[in-house]
Parts: sequence; structure tokens; C-alpha cells
Amino acid sequence: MEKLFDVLVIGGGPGGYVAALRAAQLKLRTALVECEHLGGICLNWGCIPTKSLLHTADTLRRIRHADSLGLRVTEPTIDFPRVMARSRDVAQRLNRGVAQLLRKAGVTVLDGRASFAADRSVQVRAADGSNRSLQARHTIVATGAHSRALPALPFDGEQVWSYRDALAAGALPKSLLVIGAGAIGMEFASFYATLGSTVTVVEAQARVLPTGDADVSDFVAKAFARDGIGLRTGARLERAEVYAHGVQVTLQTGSGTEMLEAERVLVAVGLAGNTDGLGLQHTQVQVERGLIVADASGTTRDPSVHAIGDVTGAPMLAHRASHQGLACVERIAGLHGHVPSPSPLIPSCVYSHPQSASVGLTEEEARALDRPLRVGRFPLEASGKAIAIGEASGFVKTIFDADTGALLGAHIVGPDAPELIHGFTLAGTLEATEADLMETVFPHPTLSEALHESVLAAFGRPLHI
Amino acid sequence: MRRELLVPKLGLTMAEGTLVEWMVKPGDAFRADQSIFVIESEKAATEIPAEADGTLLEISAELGATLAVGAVIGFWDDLATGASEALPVPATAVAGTPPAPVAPPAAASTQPALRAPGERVLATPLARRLAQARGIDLNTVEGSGPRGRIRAGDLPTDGHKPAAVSPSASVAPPVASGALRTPTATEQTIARRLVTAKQEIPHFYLSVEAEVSALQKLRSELNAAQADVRFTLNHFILAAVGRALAQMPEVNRVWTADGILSLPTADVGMAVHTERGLMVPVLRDVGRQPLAPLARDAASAAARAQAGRLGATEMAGGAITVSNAGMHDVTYMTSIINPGQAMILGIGSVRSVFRPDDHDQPALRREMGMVLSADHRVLDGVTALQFLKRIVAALERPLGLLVA
Repeated sequence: MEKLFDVLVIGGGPGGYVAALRAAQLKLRTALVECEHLGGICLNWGCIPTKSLLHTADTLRRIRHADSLGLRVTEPTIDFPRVMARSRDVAQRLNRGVAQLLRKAGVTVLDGRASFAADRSVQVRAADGSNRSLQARHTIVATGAHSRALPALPFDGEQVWSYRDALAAGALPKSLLVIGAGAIGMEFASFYATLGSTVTVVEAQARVLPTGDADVSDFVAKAFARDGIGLRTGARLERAEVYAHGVQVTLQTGSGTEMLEAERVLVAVGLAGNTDGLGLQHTQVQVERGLIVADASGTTRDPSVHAIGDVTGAPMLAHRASHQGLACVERIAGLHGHVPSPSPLIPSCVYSHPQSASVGLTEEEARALDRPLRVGRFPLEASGKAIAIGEASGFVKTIFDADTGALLGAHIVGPDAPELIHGFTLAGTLEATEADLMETVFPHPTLSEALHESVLAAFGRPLHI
Repeated sequence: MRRELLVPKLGLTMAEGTLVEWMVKPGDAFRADQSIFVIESEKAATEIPAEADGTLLEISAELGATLAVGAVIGFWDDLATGASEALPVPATAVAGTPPAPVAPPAAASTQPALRAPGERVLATPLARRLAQARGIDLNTVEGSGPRGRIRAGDLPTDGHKPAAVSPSASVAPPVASGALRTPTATEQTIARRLVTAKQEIPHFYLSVEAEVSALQKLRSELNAAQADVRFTLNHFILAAVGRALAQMPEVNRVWTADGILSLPTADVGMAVHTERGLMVPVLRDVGRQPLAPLARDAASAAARAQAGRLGATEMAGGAITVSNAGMHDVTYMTSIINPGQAMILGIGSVRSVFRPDDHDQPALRREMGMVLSADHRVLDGVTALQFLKRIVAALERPLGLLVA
């Protein structure tokens, strides 16, 4: 008989390992099962390594524009394998960090694939084929998600890439076709285009970053076009042929059919939950379209099985998974000083060039509430700091309920937008009104002043426009 | 050391209480945990134990007085030397039933701070603004945020602004005026909670009849066979509801300001009519309790409800209440959901009726009318009906209730 754990976490991504750390903090006997890398996709094949690549692209762009700052430099040579190797090094370093944190916290970490058995125990099958049976009072499913494949373009790791292949490319492709203009597609498009690939982005919906605010989509689309990235929105993939040296696709657009060719194609059309092979049929959890139905603190229909992160559906974001993991563990531990918000504000960020970040409702969603709104927009062309650093392009948009002054949504495009959005996330979480935001003193000169100006603009009193 | 004795906060929604009894006299010594006075809150009379050994020095509040939480009702000597300080309000607050904690956390728990008079009300800027606009007193609102901070979602959605009375209203014909009496604190609280429940909960109703001749026969046989427990029809109904709840955990949940809360155990409330009004003790884990202990618990809770001796915790939690009016000669009873719960099952009297059998011949049946009132925010009609059908099936084939 194996020892009984209080909490067993399946999956060591940003949802799972954070949940395990919190459970250990609360003195619960905690185990974590991971089938591949601690840190999950985020740390090993997502957020972190892509930020390493995009930092390289940003630095390259700055060097190219150094001339305007009064610096004469020659065009740098790109050591592509070294760029990729650095990205992998960064991931590995953080992966070891997670292992160390879990060890220090006293979490039992098991390598292998976990599944529920008919007797409700959890079986862990290690890579060497050995089997272990675990018992836990509570199990948290945090298995994440995987790339959805297109039937016409199955991943082959050669010509047809998933995000993983794009993170481990041996050489810079001359041309790259990106299917899907969500955050993942746009970030890789930005990276490869900056390094020198000819990039075209294909999106079935009418605009890039289709789940975000339409103003942000417009701005980013124009900036991409200026940087020479081809965009085909409202385009349906009709046919695809994969050859030894490239890919040819036929698109159906509003204006007819179009043929595009590229050396490589990256398929980034969304993610599907990792629910297969988990033995969920032996639990009472409800699975809908490959996702586990769960609330903001991971409650499922099964009182002893909980689910957090990407496997519970959108928004599939690392910080959301971590937050849900914490709320889940604290609920399990019976910690109830306050009820976690059923709808925490979750910011979303895109690190392409230009960068963008949002929290709350888009203007379109806010209009659907059928309440009087106040919308403020402040262009970075009017920001002293943005001009000084030579990046005066972008805007800050805020949406308020005109009657109550509640901040409904905020959208930022421009340099370091993801580093700025927390100001609005904090304001929204604390339910600040426009009066509190106006009363807040923002340091000068910073990009953050644009946040303040946007709020002032929403109420018809901006100072610098 | 002379210390103040304060009105404790006994439930999340308790704002005031009535001092109904002193169990020690001034000058009397008492031990820690000995009951020293009785406070009647919204629905329960609760004996308040002493925090430590001491002597009652002085009583400063009249019996029957309605007092705010934190009000001083007397003074005691804690037999220690030093400067005086107020006795902290005992933190016996009733929280919503926590979902089966696996272990008590070692870290300090973050219980919401209880609000003493004059204490700062924590509220977000938006909540303050909305409360002002809707004319809501923040002192009456329970906060769900960190440290009990009131968030916008904690405010009642409907402000109770008094409608302006026009002085030029048409002259009404004179009507003989009746006697006017100020409702008691308990009456006011019950009235407020019932109005809120009926206004805020979108009730829907399902009525069915259960054929209970087998159940009545079983009950008579069980009562004739032993003298330890006297089973009533209500005990079987409570058991049937508890079993159905345990079999359909998706029904065992309630709407809260912060979301839909799934309850960990199949607890069932039992409405008890008393002199002080309706009391609803909640029986725990009825889904798994064998019939005899369940009957004993129910009888004991009913007796304590009659005596006004129910603790506040005994009336908290649960998603459903069984309200049995069978003894009052009524066919159907459509009830208002108990605030904080999602369902109430109204039970009518058992009637002898003729119904056509399979051959259209009159057959004598003993039917009991049942009406389930349910909260449409957490239950849909089909699920609620499946739940009700399970209860009916258990009552019509009652032998299953004998095995837990």
C-alpha cells in the first residue's frame, strides 16, 4: 500500500507546480506527476523560450535603428543556431529551478504518465514501463493543452511546424507561412520576419488577434504590414501540398482564391485540452469538447477531482493557470478568509512587435452590455518618454462604465505594453473608479503616464493631447 | 482586571441580537466555557460561554434589549492584574460549510475581521460609490474580499430607496385604523430575509404525489418491532432526500454572491415550527447516515429548536430544507426557499384517493403531495425533476432506505 497523499497534482506546468508549492506551504502531503518537463509548455516550449527569441529580435531591431540615436553601426550577422541555443539554455535553467523549488518545498515528484483507475487510485506509468499506484484525497488535473492540427497540414517537424519545431529550428527559413494570427502565430511571425524570413500570416477570422480589441488588431496589422509581413485575414485554407523543399497552400479569400508558397509553414490554429488517456471516465468530472468543466477555483463535478489551467479551457494562459491552482489548493485546504473572485481579471499579452496587452472587456464586448460607456484613447506619439526612447508608436485605451466609473477594460499597444498592464489589472481587481485612477500620481517621465492620460481622456480632460 | 462583556457575532449576517437570559448573577464566579448569558439572534437562541475563569461584576443591559454586535452588556473580572481591555468578540462566526478540508492549515487562517461598532468598513471604491447611489448602508453588507472587504458584487442588486411620497396624492376615503405594533428584531430579520429570498431567488416549482402505503406499513412495523426509536414519516422523507442528494451531487449546490458553491456533504435542513417562529436545524451528512441515528438526530434537533437552544452553526449550510405540513391537513404546500439554500421540499398530508389502475378500475392509493421549490440559477427543470423522482421512488419502495 502506497502512502496516502492529501493532494496529488497531475502535470508540472505553471498551474500544477504552483498548486503543488502552495499545497506544500499549507502542510499538505503533496505529490506531483510530470510526464515530460517540469515547468510545462510555458517554461520549456512556450512563454519563456519565445521571450528569449523575441528579445534577440528586439535587440536586432534596435541595432538597426541605432542610426537614428546617433550611433553608427554595421548590420550585425545573425548566428541562428546560437540564437536558438540560448533560448533552450534559458528554458533548461528555469526547468532546474522548478525542480529545486519543489524539492525544497518537500513535494514528492514522480516522472511518468498518470491516469485514474477504476478503483479511483492514480496509476503512474514511468518511461521504463514500471507502474506505481498512488492514493490521494484530492487530485488536481493540470495536464495542459496541445496544438490543434489541421487535417490538411499534419505536423511533420520538417516542413509543417508546430510551435515546438519553430522553437528548435536548425536554420532560418527563407520564407515562412504562419496559419493562425493569435498570440502564438503573431509572435513567431514577428521573430522570423525580424531575423530575415519572408513571412505571411493567414487568419480565418476577419482580423489578426481576433479575440482582442479591434483597435489593437488594426494597429498591429498596420505595423506588421509596414514591417513587410504579409497578412491574409478572412482567409480559409482550401488545399495544401507538402513538397520536399516547401509547402504550397491554396486560400479562399473574400476576393477569390490565392496560392502561396513557403519553405516552412507554422500551424498555430489553437490548442486542445490534454484529457485523453487520463482515465477520466473513472471520475465524475464532466468533459466537454476535450476540456474539463471547472470553475475559477478548479471545482469539477467530482468532489475529489479538481482541474486547473489549459485543460479547463480558455483563456489558456500560464498566469491564469497559476492563479486557478492557488485558488484550488486554498479551497481544498479549507482556507476561507475570503471567497476567491469567480471571475478574476486575467490580463493577456502579446510580445510581437508591436507588443500589446489587455485586461477586461474589449470595446465590442462592453458595448454589448448596453450601458453608457466612456472610452479614452491616448496615443504614445504624445508621450515624452516614448519619444525620448524613439518608440513613440502605440496607444492606451480605457473603457469605463459612464454611470458607475467602473473600469471595464484596458488595452495597451506599444513598447513594454505587457509590463504596463498590471496597473489596470490592479485597479480593476481593487475596483478602483476613474476618480481613484485620476488621483494616482504616475512618475514622470515614464510610459505609464499614458495610462493616466487615457483615463483623463475617457472623461474629456486629457492634458497632453 | 475589569473587562467588558460584549454581544458576540454569531453568524455572517448577524448585525444585532436580543439579550434574553443571564445564567449567572453579578458577584457569581464562573469557569471558562461555562455559559454565562443567552443571546437570541436572527433565528437562534445561543448560550455564550465564558472566555476564561472570572467573576461577573455588573450587568449594564436590560433583558429583552436589542443590541448591536459588539455592544457592552456588562463587566467581569478576569482575576488577572493589569490594565482593563475589552473582551474581544468571540470569533464563533459561522462561515459557509467549507468543502471538506483535508487538514487544518498550519498558517494563520484569514478569517474575516468582525466589525465592531465604530470599526472602519472596508469596501472598494466602486462598492462605496454604488452603495451611496443605491442608498445602501455598508454596515449591513458582508464583504467577500480579502479581510472582509466589501466588493461591488456583495451589494444587494436592488436598492431599497423609499419611493417619494407626493403630498398632493389624491384624498383617500377614511379607513378604520388597526393596532400598530413594532415588529421584534426576530420578526424584522425574518421579514427581511424572506423578502430578499422571494425577490432575489428565481423560484420554480414541481409538484408530484408519492404513493406511501408501503412506507406507512414499514413505519408501523418498525415502530412495533422496537422501542428504541420512534420513526415518523418525516424521518423517511429526510433520509430519501439525503440519499437522493448524495446520488446527485450536481444538485447539492447553492448560489452565492461569488459563484455557485458545491457542498461536500448531503446535509438536509428540517423546518420546525416553534413559538418563536420557524427554525431550521440542518442535519449533517444525511446521505450516508443510517435511519436510526438520523431519526434520533432529527428528534433531538427538533426538541432543541422548540426549546430555543439551537446553536447558530446548527442552522447553517445545506442546499435543501424539508418542510412537512402533513399534520395540518393540507394537500400541497408551496414554500419560499430558505435564504442561502437552493431548494425547499413542501410536504402535504397523506390522502386516500381512488385512481384508475392498469385496467381502468378504481384502486385505493395513499398519496402524499410534495412540491419542490428550486432556485433556477443553480438548477434546471429536468435536473430538479430527476432529483424529485428519486425521492418519490425511494419513498414508494422504502426498504432501500433501511440500508445506508
